[in-house]
Amino acid sequence: MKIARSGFSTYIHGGHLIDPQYGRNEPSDILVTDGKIAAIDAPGALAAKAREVKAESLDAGGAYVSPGFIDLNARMGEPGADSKEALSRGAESAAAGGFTSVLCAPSFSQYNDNAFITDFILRHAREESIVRVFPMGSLTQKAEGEQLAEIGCMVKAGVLAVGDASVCLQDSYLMRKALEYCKAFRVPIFSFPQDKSLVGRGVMDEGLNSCRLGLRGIPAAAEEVMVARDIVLTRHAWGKLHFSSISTKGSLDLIRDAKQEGLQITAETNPQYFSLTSDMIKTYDANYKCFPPLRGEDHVQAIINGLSDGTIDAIASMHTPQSPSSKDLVFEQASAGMIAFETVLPLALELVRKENISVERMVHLLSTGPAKILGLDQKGLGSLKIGAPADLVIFDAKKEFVYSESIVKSAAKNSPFLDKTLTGVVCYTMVGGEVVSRGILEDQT
Amino acid sequence: MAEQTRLENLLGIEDLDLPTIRRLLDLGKQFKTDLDSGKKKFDHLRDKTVVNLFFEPSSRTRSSFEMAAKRLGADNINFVADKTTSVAKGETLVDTAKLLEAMSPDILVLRHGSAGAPQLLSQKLDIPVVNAGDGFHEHPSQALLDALTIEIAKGSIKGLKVAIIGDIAHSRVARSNIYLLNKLGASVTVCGPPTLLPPYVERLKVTESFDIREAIEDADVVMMLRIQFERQNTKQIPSNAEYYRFYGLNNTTAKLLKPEAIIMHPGPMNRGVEISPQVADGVNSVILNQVTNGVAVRMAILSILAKDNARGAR
Repeated sequence: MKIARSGFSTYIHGGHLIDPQYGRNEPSDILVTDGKIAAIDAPGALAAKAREVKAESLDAGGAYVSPGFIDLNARMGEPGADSKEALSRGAESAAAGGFTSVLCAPSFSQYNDNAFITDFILRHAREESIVRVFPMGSLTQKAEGEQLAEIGCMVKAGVLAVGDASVCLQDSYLMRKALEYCKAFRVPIFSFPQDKSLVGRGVMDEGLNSCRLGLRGIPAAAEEVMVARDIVLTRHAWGKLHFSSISTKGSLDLIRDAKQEGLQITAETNPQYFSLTSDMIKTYDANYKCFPPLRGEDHVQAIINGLSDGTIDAIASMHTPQSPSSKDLVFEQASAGMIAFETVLPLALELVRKENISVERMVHLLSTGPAKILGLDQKGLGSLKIGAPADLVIFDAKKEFVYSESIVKSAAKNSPFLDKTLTGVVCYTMVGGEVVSRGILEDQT
Repeated sequence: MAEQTRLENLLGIEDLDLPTIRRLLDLGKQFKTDLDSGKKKFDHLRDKTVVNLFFEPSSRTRSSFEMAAKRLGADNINFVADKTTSVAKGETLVDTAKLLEAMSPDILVLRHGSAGAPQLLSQKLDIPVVNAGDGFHEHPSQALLDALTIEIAKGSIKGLKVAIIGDIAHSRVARSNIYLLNKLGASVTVCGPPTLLPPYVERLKVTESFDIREAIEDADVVMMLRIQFERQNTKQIPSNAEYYRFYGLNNTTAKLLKPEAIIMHPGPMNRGVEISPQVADGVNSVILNQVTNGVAVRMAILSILAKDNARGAR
């Protein structure tokens, strides 16, 4: 990460501030000094102060200014999978998408099950990454689902959450024990609810499309059975649980009830589950293959409702870089996942344009909500508060662009949105008071 | 006359229009007549090369395509992806197909265990691709030869009642036949244990039944499917014996058939699992006619693809 220059100030003016935490939604200027938010005031009110401290001027040009986005679910290729995408490239892509903090999930058969690996990732991130990287610890040793990992040691080393990422712990007894154990360290368990036997060899949503295409289906029940189990266990153990990648209507109904009951449960979804349906697989294009699979229209509508009514607390990217050799295959054999950092904002803004959610709600889902889940709100992230680190994003909600391969910042190109016209783009991403990215259109402005 | 659609590939029945289906069946019927009259050599594919690329075991489909290509005067190469080939060394499907394409064949016939493999190759190659069966997606040449067999036996398919019995979930033959028979105006019932009927199959415009007696009693055509041991996840039926009792065309259930009903099976058969030997070899069976008609239909497929994709047409 770049270190904030001492005594250096930036004067951000001409922007429209959105901060759900403090209820701000109005034109405002911000003065950033020594990497921290020094002042927030009405347009023009900070001009004299800015001149006095010789602040560098940053004209937001009428764009929105909000706390930086915080990603709860990204595969960063660390450790050991940098052939997919090195950490530094992943971080550039994240910054271009407006993310200032990323929870780096164990992935690609790699795990982070002890403090040494956690240390390694953090050290590597300090040297290589332009955004804040917070490692997620594995819940079980080698993510094998048989014995708990050294959760306490990892928490001391810096993990903010534990979970086996895209592997669901099948053993209900161990899940109960994990929920109990983690209470001592006040760390949430990230559950990726998928019943292995119901997933079977499925590769797409079970529905008319899987029937037509002759591909094995994954029923919504595969997710819902595990959501139900984990809710029951959380109630029993009184633990703290977060659901990753929720994709079905039934899951949302269960989570809504559990939250009303007062359980410490949060949930996240990913852009593909409110933007795409299984109808898009009809040509067997492996860029649409993901896990959990793309669902039908009724599920997509339910996810959108969940984003709006508060059942879902966060939108995470589920950024998953894949090389062409793992995508240019028959659908069954292709790897799942898509690169996503750079498309989260325009896809979320689509919901704002359709008036499914307000722009404040969107910022909450991308920043304030995830900060609370990870306890980063205690460090001043996820909101814009005087004295807090100046992690923020400036974005133009109306700018249209074609997401062509040449502007993709990620090392991988596996996105179904390639060559599509999207609306909404990051202009500046600031981490700790330093501009670390000018978005994916930086060369064109 | 409306301009006919050019056939670029034969990937499945679902996307074929009715005139193209008619064109394939009528030419197939013509070849069948010629073959029956003793003619063995044709020159529709003279100077052409057909490559059969097979990633799954097959006896009738592969030999039938080979026979069809040779009858039409084409050179024919069989590439069976097994332990002796580059596929065993980890070559991907796309790379294998490009290797074969570099030898300048005119048509590629592909059999693959994964649904969508022919679609993938049709996007990557510049020559027409024929789907000879992909996973449990489609098997268009089988459906066409089945339709030809029914038309020869019954005159027309319109208005017929067809029952497809067995493992529908794992059957590409069932899917292609459902599409084709619907397009040709038949009413289709699919029947099997609920665990072997794919969810949502009723939305493919078929009637679902769990009772073979109900499914076959007024059927004009009964298609028996093989239990696909190699594709099942297991645990879908308790035993072969129970399956035979409730879903097999055994000597008891066969008594319910209309006297003029015909019995079909795409093969290979598991005698005593889905069909009794007496029924398979009985007077209502047209199972061997299906094999004979297969060559004629595949000759029609290959010659129409060659004509529609000749230099200049593509």
